[in-house]
Amino acid sequence: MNWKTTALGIAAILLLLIILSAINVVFGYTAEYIKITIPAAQLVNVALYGVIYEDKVAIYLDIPGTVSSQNVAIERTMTVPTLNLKATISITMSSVTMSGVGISAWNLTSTSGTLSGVTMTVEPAPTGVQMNINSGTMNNVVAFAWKVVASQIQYEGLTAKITLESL
Amino acid sequence: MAFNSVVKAFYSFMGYVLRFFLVLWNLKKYTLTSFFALVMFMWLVVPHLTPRMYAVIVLQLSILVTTLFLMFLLTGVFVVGGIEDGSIPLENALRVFIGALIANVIVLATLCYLGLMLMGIAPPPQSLPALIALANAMEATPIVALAITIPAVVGYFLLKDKWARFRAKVPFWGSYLGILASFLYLYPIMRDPPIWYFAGFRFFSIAGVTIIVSIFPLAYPREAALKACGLILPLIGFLSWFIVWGGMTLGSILCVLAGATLHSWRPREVKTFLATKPSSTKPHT
Repeated sequence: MNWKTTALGIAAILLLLIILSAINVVFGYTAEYIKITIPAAQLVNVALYGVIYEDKVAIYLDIPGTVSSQNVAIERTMTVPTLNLKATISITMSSVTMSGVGISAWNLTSTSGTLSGVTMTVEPAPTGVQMNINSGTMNNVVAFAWKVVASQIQYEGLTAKITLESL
Repeated sequence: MAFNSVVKAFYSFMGYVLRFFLVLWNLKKYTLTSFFALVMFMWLVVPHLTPRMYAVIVLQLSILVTTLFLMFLLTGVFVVGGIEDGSIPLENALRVFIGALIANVIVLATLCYLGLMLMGIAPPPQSLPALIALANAMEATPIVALAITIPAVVGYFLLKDKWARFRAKVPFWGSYLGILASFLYLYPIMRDPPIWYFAGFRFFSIAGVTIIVSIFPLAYPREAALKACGLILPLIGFLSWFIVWGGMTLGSILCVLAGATLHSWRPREVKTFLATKPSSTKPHT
């Protein structure tokens, strides 16, 4: 094994992660989905698309402005077959401010909130229903996302923990 | 002068560690069997004997014991196997063993830190991209560990000389790690096929390029081709972060390792003086 190539390659990857952390950019795909919980979000100029392709439908939430919220959680669940356990890794942030957010999700819910300036239109495939919201507040937003992009994200109180549940 | 004596003492100490390891490896029929029995006991029996409130600790301990078992097995198969078939010259054996030991210590330290972090004892890195990358890697680690262990163990224990001759003729490990990396690039859409419809092109394109660059040296194992592929693969590994978020993190790391392995591979003659008796490696005094 060429140790110089190995060291350079791994150092480049670590450097990239450090740079992404420093400039507060997050983007990525995940296997299955991650569960994102935003307890209260003030939203401005939000666009929600129901994307249709062949027989599959997904939701794309586009928030170009800034979103601030407390206690945001990102959860990832895995199964441990021999122990019959479901392991959930939770990454929580006590305070988050993010902008340029794009969430591609299979499911997106909010228990309460107020919306104003709502326009709903139907576009030809692959864009289906399109909903534009000029401003609003959405409480307890839960998204089961498979791709998340945040061009700027600032956070405080980052914690990670694992919880186990019986299957 | 003092530095030289410290280095000498370190090498001398590592020489004793290598001898101790070789003694254990020569008794592999017993050491591997008992180690494997302990792993099975940790996964299948201990969880049913301990209260649910200790489930996290039991899980971490089971992972730790399994990792130690795999480290012992893979160090034996790769390092002792390499000495036996002549791919690691005897004069380099100690240096390679120290390299393997350092790699094992890094893996073990990372694992212990992750375990302590997830139990809330150690602080997490204050970086969201790093935490997401770690969570992705944790999901893919069992598959990667199995995928590396199976051919190494089957080749060493069952195919013996044929395995050594095959690896002397073609750059198996470099290509195999590259193929494994391309599989990890496709992992998210294999777990969740509907993503094909929305982002399939980028997944298939990077996995396709990686698989072509990985398989090419098997068909054409010439120095120029190996050097070219050995440089292209680490570059793909780095770029994969912008296309498929590093293929569960481990995809990009395996791509770098595949390139490094291909870059330094050379065809060689198999020395048969040790390869004929793989079980009779004695510590060199």
